[in-house]
Amino acid sequence: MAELEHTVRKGEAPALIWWCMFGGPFAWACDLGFSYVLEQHTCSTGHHYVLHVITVVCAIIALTGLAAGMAAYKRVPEEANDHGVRPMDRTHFQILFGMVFSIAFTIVIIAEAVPRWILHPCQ
Amino acid sequence: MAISEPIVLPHATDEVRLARTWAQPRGFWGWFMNVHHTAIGVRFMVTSFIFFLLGGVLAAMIRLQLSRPENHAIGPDLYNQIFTIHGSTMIFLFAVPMMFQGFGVYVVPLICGTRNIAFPRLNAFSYYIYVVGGLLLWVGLFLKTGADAGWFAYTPLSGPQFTPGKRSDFWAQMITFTEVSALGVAICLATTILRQRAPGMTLNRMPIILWEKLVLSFMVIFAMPAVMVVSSMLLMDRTINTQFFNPANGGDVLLYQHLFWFFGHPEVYIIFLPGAAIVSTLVPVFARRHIFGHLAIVTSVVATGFLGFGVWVHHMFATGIPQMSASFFTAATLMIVLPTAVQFYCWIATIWNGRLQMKLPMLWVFGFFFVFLIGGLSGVMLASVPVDWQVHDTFFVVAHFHYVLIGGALFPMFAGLYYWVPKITGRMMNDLLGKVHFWLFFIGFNMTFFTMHFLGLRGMPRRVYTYPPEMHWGGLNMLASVGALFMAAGLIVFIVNFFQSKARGTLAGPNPWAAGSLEWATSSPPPDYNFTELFTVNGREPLWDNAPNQPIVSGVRDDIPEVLITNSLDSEPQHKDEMPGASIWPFLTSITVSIAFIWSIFSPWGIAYGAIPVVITLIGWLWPRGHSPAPRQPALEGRWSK
Repeated sequence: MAELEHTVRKGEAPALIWWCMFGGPFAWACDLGFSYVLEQHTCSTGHHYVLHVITVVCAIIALTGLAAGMAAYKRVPEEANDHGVRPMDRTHFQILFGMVFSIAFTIVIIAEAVPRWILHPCQ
Repeated sequence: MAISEPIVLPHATDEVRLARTWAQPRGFWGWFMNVHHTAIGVRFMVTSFIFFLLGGVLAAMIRLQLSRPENHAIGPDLYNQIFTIHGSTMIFLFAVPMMFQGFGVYVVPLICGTRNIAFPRLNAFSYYIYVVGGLLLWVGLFLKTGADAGWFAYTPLSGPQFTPGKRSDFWAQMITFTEVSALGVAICLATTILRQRAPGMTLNRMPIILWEKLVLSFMVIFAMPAVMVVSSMLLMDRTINTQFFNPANGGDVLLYQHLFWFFGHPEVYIIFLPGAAIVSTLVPVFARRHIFGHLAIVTSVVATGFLGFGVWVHHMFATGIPQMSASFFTAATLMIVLPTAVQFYCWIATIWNGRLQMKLPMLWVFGFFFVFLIGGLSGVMLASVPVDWQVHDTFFVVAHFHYVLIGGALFPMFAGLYYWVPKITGRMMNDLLGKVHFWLFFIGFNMTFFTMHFLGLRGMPRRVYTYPPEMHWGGLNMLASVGALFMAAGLIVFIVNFFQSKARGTLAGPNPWAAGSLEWATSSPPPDYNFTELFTVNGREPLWDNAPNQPIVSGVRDDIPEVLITNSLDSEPQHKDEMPGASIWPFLTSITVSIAFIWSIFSPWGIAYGAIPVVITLIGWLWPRGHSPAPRQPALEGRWSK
C-alpha cells in the first residue's frame, strides 16, 4: 500500500486504479457473454444454478473494482480535486470515475439477473 | 507538473515562416495532395451533406409513392432499390461521415490546440476511400444494379439464391470502403486526442467533446471490423461460393444478423454520441457557465460506449431466440437509457443554473431535446419483447429510429453547423433564415414521423411499395408526405442561408460566441498553421479559465511542420514530431485500393492482382524523402516546474 500511495502522489496510474475504472465493464461483459452462451447448456443439463453462480461471481468482480477504488481513494491527498492540473488531481478524477463505474455496472449485472429469478432457461 | 512559466526553447515562432511551412497546396493537383485536417474535415462535411441531400431525394420519392393507396408511380423493384439506398446512404454515407469524421477531423485538432491531426495522410486516404465507396453505391443505382435487400441486407435475401446479379455485391463492397474510412479516421482522432493535447489539458480537464470523440474512436475500432467481416463473408458467399450463410451446407443465417448488429447497435451510438458531444459543447457556451456534472457526463459517455456493445440482440427479438436470452438484452437495453438520462439532467441543470442566451444554435439544441426524448421513449417501449413482437417491421419502428437518428444526429448537426460555420467560413449565418429553417424542419419532421407511430400501430408494414385503400392508411400517409415537403423547404432555406452568408454574411471574428474552447482562440477561418502560438491550458474551458499571463509553448520549430507531443494522461510535453506534408500518394493509394476492391466484386483474383498496384503506391507513400525528421527531444523537462 505504501507503494500505491507513492504512485498516487506521483500521479502515475497503477494497475489498481485501472482495475477500478474497467473492472466493472469487464465483469458485466463476462456476465452477459457467459450467461448467453451457457443458457442452452443449463437448459439441457438442468444445472440451472450455473446462471446464478455467474451472476454472483461477476457482481463480486465488479465490486472488487469499487474496493480497489476505495483503497486508492484513501491515499489521495486531501487537497486533490477532480479539475486541477496536478497528476494527483487526475488520479482523483480517475478514482471517482472508477467507483461510479463499478457501482453502475454492478447494478447492470443485477438488473440482468432479475429474469433468471423469474424465467426458466428452457422457455 | 504545474504551469507557471513559458517553455523557452531556442527557436522563436515566426508567423510568416509558419504560413510558409504549413501552407496548403493550391491548384488542381494541390487539391488531391492536401492533407491538412481543416481541408479534409470540410470535404467530409460537404461530401456527406451532398449524400444527405441525395438520400433526401430518395426519401421524397418514397413519400411520393406512399402518399396515396394503390399508387404506381414507382414500381416495386425500383422502390426496393430506393429504400435500400436511402437507408444505406443516410447511415453509411451521411450520418457517420458527417458526425464522426467531418466534425471530428475539423474540430478535434483545433480543440486540442495542435496544428494538424495525427497521421494526416491516413486521414486524407480515409476521405478518398469514402468518396469512392459512396460513388460505388450510387453508380450502381444509376446502372440499374442498385442494392435492393434493405440497408442491413439480411441473408438469405441478399444471398446468391434470392438476389442474383451484382446488386448486393455493390452494397457489400460499399461497406468495406466506408468502414475502412471510419477506421482510418478513428485511429487519427484517437491518436490526436491522446498525444497532441495542449499542455495542461489533463485527462480530467479534457473537454467533453474530446472524451466523446475518444470513446467513439474506440467504438469504431471495435465495431466496424464486425460489419466488414460480415459484408466480406456475404461477398464470398456470392462470388466464390462459400457457404457461411447457407444452412443447407452448415452455414447459419443468424450468424449474419449477430455480426451485423454487433456493429449495428454501437453504430447507433456512434451516430448519437457526436450529437450529444455537440450539445455538451454548446449548452455551457450559451448558458454562460461551465457544464454541470463534467464527471457524470464523462462517466455516462464511457458507459454508453461499453453498454452499446451489449444490446445488439434486441434487433433480433423476432428471430425466435430463447426468452431468457432476450431478457438479458432487454435489461441491458433498459439500462443504457440511464447514461443518456444523466446527460439530459446535466444539460438541463447547466441551463437551469446559467444565464441562457437563446441564440440560433440553442434553438436546434432544444429541438434535439424534444425529438430525441420522444425517440428514447419509444425505444424503451421497443426494448420490451412483447411490444417489439407486435410492432416488429412496422412503421412504428421506422418512426422510432427516425426520431432517434434525426433527433440524435440531425438536430445537433444543424446546431453544430450554425455554431461552427462562422469558424469555418469566417462569416455568421443569417439568424432569421436559420429560424425559418428550424421551424419548417421541426414542424415537417414531426408531421412526417410522429404520424408513422400511428401507422405502425395500425399495422402498416415497412418496405411495402403500396397498400390497398381498404386499410385506411391513406390519410396519415398523405400527412406524412406533406410533412416531408416542409422538411425539404427547410433544407432549401438552409442551403440559401449558407451560400448567402458565405458571400455576404457579417464577419464573425475569432470568437463570435465568446466560447471557452481552444478553436475560438484563433482567427476565423483558422490559418493553415491553426495557431500562431501554442497554448497551455488552465481549466476545462481554456479561454474562460486561463490566467492573463498564461504561459505559451515556444520552441516548436516553424521551418518544418512540427507539433508538440504530450503524454496521454497528464498532457505533459514529451517530444516534438514532424508532421508528414502534402502528398499525392494517399490519393493514388485510394485509387489502387478501390480498383482492387471493385475488381473483387467481379473476380476473386481482383484481390490478388489488385494488391500489386496497392503495394506499389504504399511504397511510394512510405518512401522517406525530404528533410530529415526534427530532432526528438526526450522531454521538455525542467521548463515546466514552478
